[in-house]
Amino acid sequence: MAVSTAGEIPVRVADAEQSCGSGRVLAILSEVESMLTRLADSGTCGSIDLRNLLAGPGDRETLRRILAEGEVSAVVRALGETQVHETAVRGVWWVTHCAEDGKTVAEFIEVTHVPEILKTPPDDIADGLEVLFAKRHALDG
Amino acid sequence: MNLLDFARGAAMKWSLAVFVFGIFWRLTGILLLHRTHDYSVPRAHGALLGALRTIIARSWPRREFRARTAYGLAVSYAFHIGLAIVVFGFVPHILLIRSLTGLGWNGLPDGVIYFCAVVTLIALIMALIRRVTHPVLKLLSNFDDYFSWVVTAAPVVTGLLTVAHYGARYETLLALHILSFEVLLVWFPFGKLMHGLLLPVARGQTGAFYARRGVNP
Amino acid sequence: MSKDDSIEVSLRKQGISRRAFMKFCAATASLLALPPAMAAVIAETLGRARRPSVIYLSYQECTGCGESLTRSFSPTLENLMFNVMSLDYYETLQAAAGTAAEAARHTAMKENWGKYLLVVDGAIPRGHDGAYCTIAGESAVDILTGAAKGAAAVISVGTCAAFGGIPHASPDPTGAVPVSQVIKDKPVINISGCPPVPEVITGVLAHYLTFGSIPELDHLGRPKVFYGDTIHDRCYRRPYYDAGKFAKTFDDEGARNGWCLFELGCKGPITYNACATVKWNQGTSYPIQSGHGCLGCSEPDFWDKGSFYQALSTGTWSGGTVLGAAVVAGAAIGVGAAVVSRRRQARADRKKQP
Repeated sequence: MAVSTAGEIPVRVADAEQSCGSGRVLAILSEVESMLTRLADSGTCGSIDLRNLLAGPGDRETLRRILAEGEVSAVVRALGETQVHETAVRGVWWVTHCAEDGKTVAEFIEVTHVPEILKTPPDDIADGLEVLFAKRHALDG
Repeated sequence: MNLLDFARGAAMKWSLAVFVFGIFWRLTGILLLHRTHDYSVPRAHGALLGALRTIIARSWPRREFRARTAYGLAVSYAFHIGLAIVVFGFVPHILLIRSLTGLGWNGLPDGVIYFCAVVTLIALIMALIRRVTHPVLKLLSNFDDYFSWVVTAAPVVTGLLTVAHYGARYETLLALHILSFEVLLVWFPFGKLMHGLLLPVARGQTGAFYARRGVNP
Repeated sequence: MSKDDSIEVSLRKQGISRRAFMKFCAATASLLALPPAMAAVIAETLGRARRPSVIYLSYQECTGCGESLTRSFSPTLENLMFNVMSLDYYETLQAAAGTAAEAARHTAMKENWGKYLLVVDGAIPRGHDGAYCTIAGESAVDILTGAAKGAAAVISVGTCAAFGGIPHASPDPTGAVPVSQVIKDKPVINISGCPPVPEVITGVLAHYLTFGSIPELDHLGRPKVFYGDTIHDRCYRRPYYDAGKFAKTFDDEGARNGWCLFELGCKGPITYNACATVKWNQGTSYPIQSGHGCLGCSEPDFWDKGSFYQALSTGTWSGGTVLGAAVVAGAAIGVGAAVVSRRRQARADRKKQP
C-alpha cells in the first residue's frame, strides 16, 4: 500500500471495549475481591500497585469503567496533585499520584476505610498546632 | 560471545556446511554407483510407475503382517507426522527455513505445535522402549540406532523446555535447542537418519526391478 | 542545605510536606516493585539517612544515559531525587570547568572517602595505554581506578559502561571494555540499556539510599527487580505470539492490529529489561507498543547479534560460499567414491570373464 502523506498512515487505536475480557483486568478484579473480603471480615487493609499490571492499551479504561465512580473524591495538593476516588464498589479506592506537570508517577487501588494519604500525619498535626497558636497569638495582639 | 550467539552463528554455519557436504557426498556416491545391466527381456513396461507404487505401497503393512507390526508402525507414524508438523508448522522454524531457502508459508498456532511435540516425544519414547524390549529388534540395534534416536529426541525435548522456559534462562534453553538441532544436522548424512533421503531411492529401485519382471508387489 | 542534615530534615527545609514525602516514597516503592506497604519503611529509612555523595564519571558515551537520567520521573520528583543525593561531580551538569571541576572531584572524594557512590557511563578504552580518552591529561582507566578506590559501590549506567556497548562493538578500534573489567575489588551494579529506563537508574539509587545495600543482582550484575523478566514475558502482545499471530511487515494488517513483532526481528524473548512494565516517557509507551520490535539494547554485544530485523530463530552467520564449497566438496568426494567403486567392480567383472 502506497502512503504519501502522514494522514494516510493507517492507525488503529486500541479499543477499550475489546480488552473487556482481558486476563489482566479479571485478575486484578479477583484480587480486589479477596482484599475486600479480608477488609469486611478482619478490617485488614490492602493495596494493589497498578504500575506493572495495566500493561495493555485499554486495560486502565476497562478497569475504571467496571469499578466506576463512587460517592467520594478528594484532591491532595502536595508536589503535584494526588487524586483519590472511592469507586462505586465501596471500600475500594483509586489513588493516582501525579507530579506537578500532571504526569502520573504512581497509581494504586487501595482497599481500606480511608486512604492513608488523606489522613493528617502526626508531625503535621504538631505543625498545625504551632500555626494555630501563632495565628491566635497574632489576633490576641 | 555467549552460547546463543555461537549457536546462531558459527555453529549453525558449520553444521549446515557438514550437512550439505555429507548429503551430496552420499547421494552422488550412491546414485553414480555401477549398475549391472539387465539383459533379460522386460515382461512389462512402466518401471517408473512401479517405483512410485512401491514407495507408497510399502508405507502400509500387508495384511499378513499387520498384527505383528501395528504397534511399531503406529508409533513410527505418530512421531514422523508429529515431527513434520512441529518442524514445518512452527513459525520460528518456518522463519529459519525462509532465511535459508527463501521459501515460507503460514504457521500453526502454538497450542497445536505444543500438543504435537508432546505426542511426538511420547511416541519416540514408546519406540525406544520397543527397541530395547523387543528380542529381535534389540539384537539388530547398534550405536547408530540409539544415537540417531538421541539426536532426534533432543531437539524435541529442548524445544519443549524452551517454550516452557523450564530449567534455565530462555536464551540458554534456546541456544541448547538450536545446538541440539545442529548436532542432528551433522549426524544426519552419516547415520541411519539418512533414510529420510535414501528410503525413496531404495524402495524405488526395488519397485522398478519388480515392475520389469511384471510382479505387482 | 547542610550535608549533615538527614534527608527528611533537608526536604522539610525545602518546604516539602510530610504528605509530599510519603507520596515520593509511594512512587519509589512502586518503582522498586515493592509491596505498597513498604512505602512506610522507605519513608522511615530515608527520613533518618544522610544524603550520600555521588560522583558521576563519563567516558566513551553519547550522553544519552545522562539525558535519560535527567528525565526520570517528572521535574518535581526528579528534583527531589537529586536533592536526596549530593551530586558532587558530573561534567554534563556542573557549572565548574577545567581545574576547578577536577578540584571539586578531588575534594568530594577526599571528604567522602569510602562512602561515596561512583556512577559511570560510557565504556573505558584500554587500547594504546588508554590514550583514546583522557581528561586533564589523565586516562579514563587511571581516573576510574583512582575514583573507585574510595567508592562504597560502583554503578555502571548504560550498556557501554555495563557491557562495553557500541564502543566495544566489532571491530572495537579503541579496545573498549566495561567498568567491571577495570574494577574488580568493588561491587559493580550494571544498569544496562541504550539508554537505560530513567526510572530504573533512579530506582537503583533509591534502593541504595533506602536499604544502604546493593539490590540483588543477576549473573550479569543487573538488579533483578528491573532485569528479572524478559520483555517478551511481560509484553502485552505476548498472547498474539502464543496464538501464532504475527505482523509480517511494518504496514500490514497484523502490524495495524498490534500483533506480535517476532517475525520482524523483535529481540524481546532474550532481552531482560523493565521497558514493558515501567515503560518510557512517564509510562506512555515502549518500543513494541509503538510498533517496533525490541533491539535487545540491554544485553551484552547487542550491536553484533546480526540485523535488528532478523527473527531470533534464524542464523546470524554469513557464509554462502562455505555452503557452496561444501556442496562442491561433497559432490566431488561422492563422484570420486563412485569412480573408485566402478573401477573395482570392473576389475572384478574382468576377473570373472572366462
